[in-house]
Amino acid sequence: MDLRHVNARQLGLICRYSIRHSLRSGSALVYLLLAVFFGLMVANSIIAPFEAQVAKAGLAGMSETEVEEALVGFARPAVEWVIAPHRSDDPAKQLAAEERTRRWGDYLLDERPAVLSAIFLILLFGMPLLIPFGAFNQTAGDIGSRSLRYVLLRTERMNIFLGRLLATAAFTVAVQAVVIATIALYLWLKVGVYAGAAIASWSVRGFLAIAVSGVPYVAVCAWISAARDSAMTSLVVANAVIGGVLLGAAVGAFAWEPARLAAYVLPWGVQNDLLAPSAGTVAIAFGACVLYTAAFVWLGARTFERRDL
Amino acid sequence: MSAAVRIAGVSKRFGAQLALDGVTFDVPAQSVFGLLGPNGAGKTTLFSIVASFLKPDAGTIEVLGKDPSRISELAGRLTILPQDAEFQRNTPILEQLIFFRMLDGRDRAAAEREALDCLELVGLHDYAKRSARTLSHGMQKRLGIAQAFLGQPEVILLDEPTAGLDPANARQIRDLVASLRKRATIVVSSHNLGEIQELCDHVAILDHGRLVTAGPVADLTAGARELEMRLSRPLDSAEIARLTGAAPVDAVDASNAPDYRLRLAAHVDWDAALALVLKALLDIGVVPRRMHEGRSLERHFLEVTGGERGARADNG
Repeated sequence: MDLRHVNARQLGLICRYSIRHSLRSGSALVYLLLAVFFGLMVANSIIAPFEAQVAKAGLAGMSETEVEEALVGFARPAVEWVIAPHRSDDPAKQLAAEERTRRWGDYLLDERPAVLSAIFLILLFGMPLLIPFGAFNQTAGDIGSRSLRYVLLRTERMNIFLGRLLATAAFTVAVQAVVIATIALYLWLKVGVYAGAAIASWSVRGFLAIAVSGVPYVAVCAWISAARDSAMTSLVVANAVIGGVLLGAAVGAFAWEPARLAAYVLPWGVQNDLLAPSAGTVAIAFGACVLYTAAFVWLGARTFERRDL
Repeated sequence: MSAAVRIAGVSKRFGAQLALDGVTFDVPAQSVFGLLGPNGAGKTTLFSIVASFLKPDAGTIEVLGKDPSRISELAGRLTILPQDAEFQRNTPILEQLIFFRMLDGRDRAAAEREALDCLELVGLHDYAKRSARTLSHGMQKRLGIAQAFLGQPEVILLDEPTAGLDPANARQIRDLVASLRKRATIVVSSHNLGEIQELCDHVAILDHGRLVTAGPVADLTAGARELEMRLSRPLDSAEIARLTGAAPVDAVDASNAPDYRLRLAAHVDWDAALALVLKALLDIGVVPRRMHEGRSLERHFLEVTGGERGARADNG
């Protein structure tokens, strides 16, 4: 990957042009609709039962403790499902893992807005599966139609690859921001059980976690897209790789426990740690996501630089 | 004359198929250079390698003294009309041309002005706000030519520039290419050998991925002491005998009568021989309708690429 010829002006031009083009072509809109639908559906599945209970009892008729218990009660299953520790045959390790999970659960459910914690954990799990719908066609379609050839004589390949990657990442993150802002505003203005400051600070943290964990998946899609000549193939392969790694690790672990480590091929194994209580754990998860991104960008750029277009 | 494009020992293989095999030639600066070859000869592959779309397996390319794979060093000096490339379907064509020109370093206002000028040049000014998917095949071809002429390119590669165009538009494109002669080096591949002969001062002929011949068109077509003529009527055998008796003609090819190909004797002056041939024809009441000294490029092409097979020249 040769960055000496990267031109910031051309990078910016390609990035802006790519965003406009992907909106016109509809692929970005498909991702926008899927992400908004998924985000709001997740939020609804956690908030709606609470709202139903409040409607039945009346918020004024519930004590503060009852409200908190209700909120935690609706959020707890989702949180416990996502952060559940891996089973270990070593009792000491198992105990330590359970203790860590208990502390993490307390942090997410008691110290932070529990409903938002549950929503963020599910979004952290689900958003990577949606990202290919917005990121599959960074270059593959234009390689197939050869429309890239009009650009190849005007800028270095690296500018094209990085410009489109930046455009896709920016759009992906912007959509995530819209989803989280919508949920946070609804929770603050409509449900009204958490303080605005608590919602705002935890939403920023949740947004950063989802955004930071999403960018490596965008980079994986960029790599796959650079290697394919067809947008459809790129979409299928990207979905198969991102979903397949998770599924393979989960199913494989039933037969052979260490197979769960396959999840670390992608950020699946570390991304939840971005919402951990310990700053050190968060920093390691953040660093890992940066490394994943760098590795996939390098692989994608190398593929795009070397291939026939 | 210095070379604008240097192609040295370029080979390219697609799986088991050798598309180019050690091709070497130079394209002189400020020339209009024709690239010819039958179907599958490797012309489009060679264009794609010069433009750095494809990576050669062996050999080197220089455009204006630079390696085209480091395109930022050429910065808008090399453009191409690729053969099968599509424009982005949903984006207005003006916006696409502005984007291309801005990548060359122009600001938006200048880029828009130049893009509109180019669209005017190819008769698409009224379609500037339309998206590419609403344009016909011919219009898309003209749009491709507009983008190739965008800015002040010093080397322009045109892969089948008139394919799919009606005669009026094809003529317009040929005139456009001719008007750029001496301002830029233009490399053209075409089905139409007459077009190449009309436009180009140099040619290279590829066959099965190998360079068969390259050089000035005048040298290739004047390589033999031949005269191609179309006569007002076919000649009978007695008249052919009379012609060969009266003029220094060694052989007459009458296989395409009333088009004849005469090989003149080597020892006589060309003008004197020509005068004798014309006199002999007029004496028997036959009028030459068309006459061409030397071999036509088509004839040369057919000879070096293997006759009838070569006549099926197509995109390679």
